Amino acid sequence: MSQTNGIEILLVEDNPKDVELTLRAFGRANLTNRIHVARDGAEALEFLFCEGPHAARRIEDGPKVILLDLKLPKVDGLEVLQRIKGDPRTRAMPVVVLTSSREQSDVVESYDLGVNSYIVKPVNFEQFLSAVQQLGLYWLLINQPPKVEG
Amino acid sequence: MRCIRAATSEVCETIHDRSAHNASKSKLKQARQELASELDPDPKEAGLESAPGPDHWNSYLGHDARIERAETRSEQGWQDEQARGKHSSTERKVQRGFVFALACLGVIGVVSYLSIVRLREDAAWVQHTDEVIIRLELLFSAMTDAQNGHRGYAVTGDETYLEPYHLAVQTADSDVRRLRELTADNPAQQRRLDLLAPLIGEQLAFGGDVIASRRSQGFEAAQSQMLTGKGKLIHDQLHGLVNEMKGAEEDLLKERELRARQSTTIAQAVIIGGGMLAFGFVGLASFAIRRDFAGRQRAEEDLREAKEQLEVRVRDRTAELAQLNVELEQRVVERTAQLQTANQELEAFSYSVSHDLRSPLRTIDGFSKAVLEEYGSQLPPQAQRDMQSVREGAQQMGALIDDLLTFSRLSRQPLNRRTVDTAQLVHQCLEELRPQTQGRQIELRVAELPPCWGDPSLLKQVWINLLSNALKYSSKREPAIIEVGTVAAPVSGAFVDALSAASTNHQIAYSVRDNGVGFDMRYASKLFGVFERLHRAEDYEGTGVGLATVQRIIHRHGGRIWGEAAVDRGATFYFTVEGEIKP
Repeated sequence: MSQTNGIEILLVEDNPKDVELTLRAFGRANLTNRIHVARDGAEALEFLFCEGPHAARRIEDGPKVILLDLKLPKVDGLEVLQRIKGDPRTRAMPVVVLTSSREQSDVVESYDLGVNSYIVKPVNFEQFLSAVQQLGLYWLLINQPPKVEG
Repeated sequence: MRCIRAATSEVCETIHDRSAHNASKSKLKQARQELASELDPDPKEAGLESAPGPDHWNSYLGHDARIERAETRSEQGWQDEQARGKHSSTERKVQRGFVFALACLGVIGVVSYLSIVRLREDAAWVQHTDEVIIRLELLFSAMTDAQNGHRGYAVTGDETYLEPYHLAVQTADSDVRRLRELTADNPAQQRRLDLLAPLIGEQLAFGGDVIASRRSQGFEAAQSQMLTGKGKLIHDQLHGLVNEMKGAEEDLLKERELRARQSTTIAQAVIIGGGMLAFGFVGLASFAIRRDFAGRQRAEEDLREAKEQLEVRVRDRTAELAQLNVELEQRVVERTAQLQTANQELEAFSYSVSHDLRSPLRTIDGFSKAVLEEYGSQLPPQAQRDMQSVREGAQQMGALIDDLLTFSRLSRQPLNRRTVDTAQLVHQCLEELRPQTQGRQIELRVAELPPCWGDPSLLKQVWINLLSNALKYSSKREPAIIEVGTVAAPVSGAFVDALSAASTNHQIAYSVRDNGVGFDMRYASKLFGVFERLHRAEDYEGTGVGLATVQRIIHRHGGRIWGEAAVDRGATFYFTVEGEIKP
């Protein structure tokens, strides 16, 4: 079993400060050891589709939830979302957009592409903490994903 | 003569027909107005930089001035006529000319007729006189023949010599009678005839005596009778009297011939003079007609010129307008493209603000919180308060950004109008605002609210903002009183009280009233500006965007919003929604 097998959360976020704050928030919820961070869209796709450094991984051993920022270098969040939902191997993976954008166009387009949830990151840290803890608990503990074959 | 002279001078005067003048003037004016309306640029439509430059307008003005000059010229012509005090029309003058000419011809006719009558009379008189003279001569020669007859018979005893004597005896009386008739109007000749008739009788009697003596007593008796000289005396008297009568008749004839010549001369003078006068009047009348005609022709020419100029101007202007239109359309296309670009840039900017500006704020707030939580115990109280201020600043800025984004989104979001149940909407908003009212004593008075025609989500934003303002600024009142209702507002200007609601010129305005701190009406103009606040931040929190957002929504609906307040005596906000009531 490779190390990636235990990954339960894929966090796609380019802002290191946001990464740190998000990780802290997850830390409070004791979820730190199950998180992989991708710093741009391309890296996220490599991880998900087991390419490059992640070639040893099996696609079927995907994370329980993907937290996706929209504004990303190289490949932006909406394109990543499109790739995930457009591929039968990854379509079932829950994707939560976690972004600063409250633009209606972003919200509408995300849902059109099949996003499972859309969360606007609050500026207030307490609210942010609360949001992260709730979504972690929900997607990791409450939500029941389909059994993956193979 | 005075009358003729006056008429002549009248006809002679320059004739500018008043009606022709007016017609040409009004045509000019009309053409000018048409041009003016054609050329009049609606500043609102012409607008932008594409409006014709000053050169254009100068040329229009120049044209206008030309027409003005033409008008002034004709106006001066008219004034000249006025100065001469002329009011009669050409027709009247021409008519007068012809009437005078006809009068002249009439006079000529009468005079000619009278002259001819006179001539005929004179000719009759001459003939008459001739007849008198001839009759006198015939009478005298008959008497002479009679004398010669009785003398010849006395000498020869031949009866044939007596024929002239017998003829004279037969005709003398009728000849004298005829002369009496011919000279019946002449008393002098009648008197002479009175003398003549007995002389004729005496001569014929004497002749008879001589003839009788010759026949009965023979030659000597007759000779002695004749030698008395009586017969010769009578005949000489007769001769003298006849000559006298002839002379009188010849004098009469001379006199009559002279009179006839005089009347002929007068008739000739009248015919020639009258003919010339008539000719003159006709000439003057035709001169007047020609002048008038020339004047009309000039006016028509002027009009035609002005019309041609106008047509040229209109053609030019039409071409310019067409060109302008093309340019404008081109410009609209360009501007639309520019606007689209600007809009896209604005959206990109908003997106950027929305996304990128919030991240660092979250970082500031998050790490400040981390510092406080993890190292709070090691920090002096002042540092802890400062860190808290940092967090508050970051959070305030986050709220500002959110409000600004909402505000800017309102301009782009399309209006989705439908019937809005205002009463229900207000109820819903009050429900959502309930968390703000917890622990407060609030008296809510919601009157009957008619529905309106608008975008429900945007109008909800309006009610939320106004109601939360009312709740916020009355937070220090016990109890706070919030009243929601309607008033009748005039279509323009400030509201009036509800009593005048019946007036058709009013529309329903919704109102939200509170008994809070109010505001100073001096600053009312600042109420709806972005980031404008009439209260200190430490007294009432807020970003200063709420009322600006409300105003923008109302304006997009075509409505109006205004506020009334007094410091510490509450505030009331009114707004209308264009076409608010669905029938």
